[in-house]
Parts: sequence; structure tokens; C-alpha cells
Amino acid sequence: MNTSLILGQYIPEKSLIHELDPRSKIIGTALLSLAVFLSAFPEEQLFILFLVMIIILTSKISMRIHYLALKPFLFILALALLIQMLMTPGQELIEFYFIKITVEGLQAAGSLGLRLLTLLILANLLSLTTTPMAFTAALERMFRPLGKWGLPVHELVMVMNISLRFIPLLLEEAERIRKAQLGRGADFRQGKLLGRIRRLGAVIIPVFRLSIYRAEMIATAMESRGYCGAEGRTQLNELRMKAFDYVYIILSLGMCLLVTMTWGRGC
Amino acid sequence: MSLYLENISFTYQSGTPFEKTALSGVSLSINDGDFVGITGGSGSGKSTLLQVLSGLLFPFAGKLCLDTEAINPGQKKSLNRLRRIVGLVFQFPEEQIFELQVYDEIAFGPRNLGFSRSEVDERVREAMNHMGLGFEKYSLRHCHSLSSGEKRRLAIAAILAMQPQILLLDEPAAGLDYEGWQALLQRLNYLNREKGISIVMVSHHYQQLLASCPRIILLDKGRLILDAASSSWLEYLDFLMQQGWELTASQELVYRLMQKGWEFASSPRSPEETAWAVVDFIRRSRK
Ligand SMILES: Nc1ncnc2c1ncn2[C@@H]1O[C@H](COP(=O)(O)OP(=O)(O)O)[C@@H](O)[C@H]1O
Ligand SMILES: [Mg+2]
Repeated sequence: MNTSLILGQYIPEKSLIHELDPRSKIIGTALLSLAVFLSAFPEEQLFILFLVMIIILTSKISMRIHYLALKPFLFILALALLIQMLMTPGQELIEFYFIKITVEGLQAAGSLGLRLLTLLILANLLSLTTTPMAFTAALERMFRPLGKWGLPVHELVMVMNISLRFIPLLLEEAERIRKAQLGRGADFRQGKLLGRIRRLGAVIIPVFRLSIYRAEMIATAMESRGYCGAEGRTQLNELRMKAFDYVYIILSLGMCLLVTMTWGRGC
Repeated sequence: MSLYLENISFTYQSGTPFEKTALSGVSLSINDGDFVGITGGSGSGKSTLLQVLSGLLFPFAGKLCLDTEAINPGQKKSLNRLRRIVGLVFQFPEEQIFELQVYDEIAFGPRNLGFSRSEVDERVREAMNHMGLGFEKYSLRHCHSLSSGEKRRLAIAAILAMQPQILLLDEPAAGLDYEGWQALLQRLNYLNREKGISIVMVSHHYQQLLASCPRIILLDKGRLILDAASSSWLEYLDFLMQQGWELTASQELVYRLMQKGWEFASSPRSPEETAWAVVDFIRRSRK
């Protein structure tokens, strides 16, 4: 855990992408992802990947970090490509015992690879450049209209917000307790299944107890400071769309429209 | 049993933008019967150092030796040996209690080591005894029904049941009242003197450490900047003041008297010792 990047980690920088309104980042990412799904020609897919690469460069986050964020998915990606390559029937290119590679298979795998890669990069870019706080604030603002139909948008978002912030705390807690038990002769990798489950329980129980205790403290602390839900609550930093936000959304929308026009004509 | 650190460095989350060097170039040795206090500001690497000493974190650079044997983090055998010789009591150890009953909590360690029922029983009794938890009174109590001071002692007893030769404690005084701390300190002193267990404890409360540990180590931003006997603190007083130490009232008194030309045979470490030193000085000067 010490050397790997935590999934969904935010990396602070001062860049065009970081400064974007979180709403436009979410909408832009959604539109670009849609464009990736709808794109049928390799030229289009390459063009979108190229565009995403440019966006990545403006984020000022080093390529190494982008790679680290991608790394956990690479194996699954490779597996998907392999299956696609071997399972697509068509004109044979290479035959090796029972393995048949077809022209269509190669094309399909290439197209799938490009698209999945672009999607992964997009998703990582969103989490690398958006704080969980900004993310939930954007969600709250975007879903506010649903509040009219009695959906407790603010409360739901608050629950999500607090849970997101609890994740690293819980991980830390579990790590600490695991270490404490390592020091008392517990071995988490050896022994019979039953023993291992028992030892896992020894980690989970204190984590669980501590998190319930924490939740209660947080609730008390919030109430004692006058928290009573969405009513009359304002934001410290109101979300504001700037010119570049519209540029970003229009760009993504344009991309989407472009690929829609050719949709259905390809394979 | 001696533990040596040579030029140890440790970095958290290395290779990411959150990289944080917690220890750099630390060398020290813990010898038989030592009673060491480690202090330093918040974030100076005290807790990290204890975890490196106990084999829970592996140093990125440097050497860790147990007597003459180098501990190789890749080798499970030498790591397990280190972990059996060194016991670490984490900060707020009572938060890690997970068994229902006091007996089971303390027996967790010895059972993991594969001891027989009677040997486990023996160890639990001894550990409880060391921490002043009477076996008859406490062994069947529910852990959560204990007071916080008792829970702390229970958590330490759970480590003592492993019979470590070196006991590391991270902020053992945190959250204890003065009396609770004094009682705990007496028990640690007993273990050190009578059982020959080396004790290393961490505290940000340096004045407390100066009064209770014969040897103190000072960390600053991950570097070891002082390793000295606390009985001669007057010798490095200037250095401590440069580091921003504030003196307690009794230390201040000694300092002022020294400026007025008084001479002290040794550096008094506590208010009581200061009082005796002053009395001693007056007696000597009357003669
Ligand atoms: N799990 C961790 N991940 C990243 N950084 C850490 C972690 N634990 C501690 N640190 C950092 O390492 C430094 C030393 O921490 P620590 O050893 O806990 O200091 P101390 O106990 O003296 O307060 C601090 O700057 C802290 O922020
Ligand atoms: Mg600490």
C-alpha cells in the first residue's frame, strides 16, 4: 500500500482541467465517454484518444501517475483483448494448432482496446483532478431539481461525501490493527481456512467498532454545531461556470455529434 | 540482546506525489537493560522509528541488526525472530482490543506462538501480574467494561505475554492522568530493573521523558539530532534551548542558579531531585 496509488486519489495541481467546474468535468467526461461508445471507425477512435491525450497534457499531472492509475486495469484489459482476438470468426490470418487469429478478430480487438483505454484514462482523469468534495458538490447541484419530488438529494450526497472521506481512514485503521496483531504472532497468510477467517475477524471487529463509534461522534459533532439537513444551508464556495467550462462542454458535445453522424455506417 | 540501526531511511508512499520521507540516516543501538526515551515534535518520525525497530515497516535504506545477525525484510525467518524479541505497544493500544474477555485478549499472542494450555495460562498470569491486573479479579471480566487506564494496562499485558526482550511503547502516557502515568512508569521501571527488559518509549512530552528515562533521543524532521544520558542534561542545555525546549519550573531554577555561579554535582532530573540538589549545595557551602 505504501508504494501504490490509492484508487480514486486526487492530485492537486494548478491546471486548466483542475480549475474547471466539477459539473462541466462530469458532463464532459460523460459526453466524451458516450462519444467513445458511439465511435465506429478506427480513425474516430484514434482521434478521440488523441484529444484525450491533449487534455491529459494540460492537466500537468505526470505521465507516470496516469500510468500508475491505469496499472491495476491493464491485466483485465489485456485479457479482454485476447478473448476478443481469439473468439471472433472471420478470415483466417494465422493458424497455430487450435489457435486461430482472424483479420476481423485483430480489428475488433484493436477497436475494443482503443475504446477501453480511452474510457479508463477519462475516468482516471476525472478522479485525479477532482476532489471528492467538489465531486459531491457538483452532484448535489445537478440533482437538486429532483428534490422537488421529495428525493432527499442533500442528505444522500452528504452520506456519500462522508463515506468517501471515511474510506482512507478505515484503510488506515485496518492497517494499524493488522500491524498490531502481526506483532503478536498472528500470521495472516498461513494456517487452515478456519483459523484464517478467525484472524480476519480479529481485524474486522475493532475496525467495525471504531467506525460505529466514529459515526456516532461525527453525528453528535454535526448536530451540536447546528447541522439540520439541507434546509437553509448555503455553500461556502458557490459553483460557477466560467467561459472555459462552456468551451469544454461544447468540445465534448461536438465530439459526440461528430461520431453520431457516422454512426451506423461503419461495421 | 542488542538492536542496531545503521543509517536507516524510510519514505512513505515513495514514487507518488505524496512521497514523505519520515526517517533519514538514523543510526542508534538499543542495548541490554536500556531505558530509552525518544522525543521530538509532531511528525518528526517517532512512530515510524518504532515500527522500523519492531520489523513492521521495512527501511528503504540502511541496515537493521539483531546482535550480529542482519535482519533481511525478505526473509521471513529473521523477521519473525525480530518480532518475537521486540514487542510494540501502539499509541492508544486499547483501541485494538478485539476479544470479549480479558483472558482471551492476553492469550491471543501466546496461542499464536503455539504454546500448550498450561504454558499460555502461565504467561497470561505473569503478564497480568506485571500490569497489576489481579488474575482472579480481572481474567473473566469483559474488556469493554474496564476503565481506560485498565484497558491500557490490559493492552500492554497482551504484549508482555509475548515475553519480548525489548518493549517499545508509542506515547504510553497519552490520555492517562498523572497518577495513572506514574503507576505505569513504576511498572515499566520494575520490568526494566528486575526482568531485564529493555524499554524504549516515545513521547512528545520531553520534560516527562527527561525525568523518567536514563537515556534520551531527540528526533527532528526524521533526523536523529541527540542521543545522550539524561542525567547530564545540563551539559547540552544550550543545544536543547536552541531546539526550542521550554524548561520546567525546576529546570529553570537550576539554570538560573547555575548562572549565578552555583555548581551542581549532577543534573537533577525531577523537582524532587532539584530540591535535594539545592539542599545539598547549601549544606556543602555552609561547611
Ligand atoms: N501511513 C502514512 N502515509 C504517509 N505518510 C505518513 C504515514 N504515517 C506517517 N506519515 C508521515 O511521516 C512523518 C512522520 O510520522 P510519524 O512517524 O507518525 O511522526 P510522529 O510519531 O513523530 O508524530 C509525518 O510527516 C507523517 O505525516
Ligand atoms: Mg506518533
